[in-house]
Amino acid sequence: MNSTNKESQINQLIKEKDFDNAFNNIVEEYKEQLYWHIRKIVLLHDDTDDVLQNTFIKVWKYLEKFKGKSKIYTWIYRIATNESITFINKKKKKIEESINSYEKFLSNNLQSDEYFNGDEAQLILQKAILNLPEKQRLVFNMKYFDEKKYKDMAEILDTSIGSLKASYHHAVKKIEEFVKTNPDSN
Amino acid sequence: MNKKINIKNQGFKTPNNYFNEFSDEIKARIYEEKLKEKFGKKNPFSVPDTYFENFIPKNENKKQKPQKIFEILKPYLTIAAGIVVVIAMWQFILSKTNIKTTVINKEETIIGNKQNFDEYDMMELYLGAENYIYDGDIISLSDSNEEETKFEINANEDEISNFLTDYSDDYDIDEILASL
Repeated sequence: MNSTNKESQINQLIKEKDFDNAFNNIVEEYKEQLYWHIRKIVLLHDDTDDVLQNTFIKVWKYLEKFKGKSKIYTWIYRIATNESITFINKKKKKIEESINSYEKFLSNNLQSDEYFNGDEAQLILQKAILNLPEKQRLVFNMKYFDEKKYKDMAEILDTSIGSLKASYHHAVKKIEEFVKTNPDSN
Repeated sequence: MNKKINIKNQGFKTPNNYFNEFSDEIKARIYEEKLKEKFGKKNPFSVPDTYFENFIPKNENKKQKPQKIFEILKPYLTIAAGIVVVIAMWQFILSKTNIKTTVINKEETIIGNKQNFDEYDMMELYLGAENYIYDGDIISLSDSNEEETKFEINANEDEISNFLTDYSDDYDIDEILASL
């Protein structure tokens, strides 16, 4: 079953108020996509698992209130994005109280994360991405790795396509500069 | 059918600002290509074995409908209401007891005062007051050493009256007494 059919099946279950089945279908359909979306924002597996859990709890809580004005896919991606940002901000605050920079903390932890298999070059790319402002980071990950369309991204991030294009442009430029100026990258 | 056709574009249109944004977009694509060449798009992250196969959201209470705030707070509100009732009852009982005690105390005070007044004559009051006036400041009687206030004066009413008359020019008795 392709994703459009699956989406309409979930919508039908919601209309019929069969929320348990609708929810189980959502989890099965989107758990992997959402995991990778979240993982690229929070980077560490354990953090990703926490955020993914929180995302599905929110989805369950508000499923009855979902009116179908947007696609399920867009709606849950938006929840996942918000949960990830909320999580990062909380952790940032906590870490910056004790250590210094959250980005530094993340890049150090990424190297020792058993679920990071990247080589030196990929580590540099991740560090470069970590240096980006929040929005540019989101846009870069969604476009570069997930190859999402600007139209879908605009719905998920609730912003205009023009602004997304500009963010992506700035992001790739900054990453390119970071890689050039970082001696470890060569 | 008189509609003018743009010969150059053959009637086709582009999105607003398309050409303005185009150069930026193509630059971004070039940067992107460079990044792809250097880093590829390989996902460097991995997950524990069978993570997705075993993934079940931990919202064990998902069978329950989302509770309204009142429903969540209901047990706490009940406890709080109970505490308020107990406190109110306690206050009520205390106030009843206090009224009785106050009445009794007042009666005792009145009797006591009367007795005191009988026991201590005016002379004693005057001298006592004088003892606690120091450089114009009145020192609280309660702070004083009780022994200091206990002295006996044997004088009859005429002697007191004379004494007061003699010293009344120097001291304003009413003022002294009022300050006590």
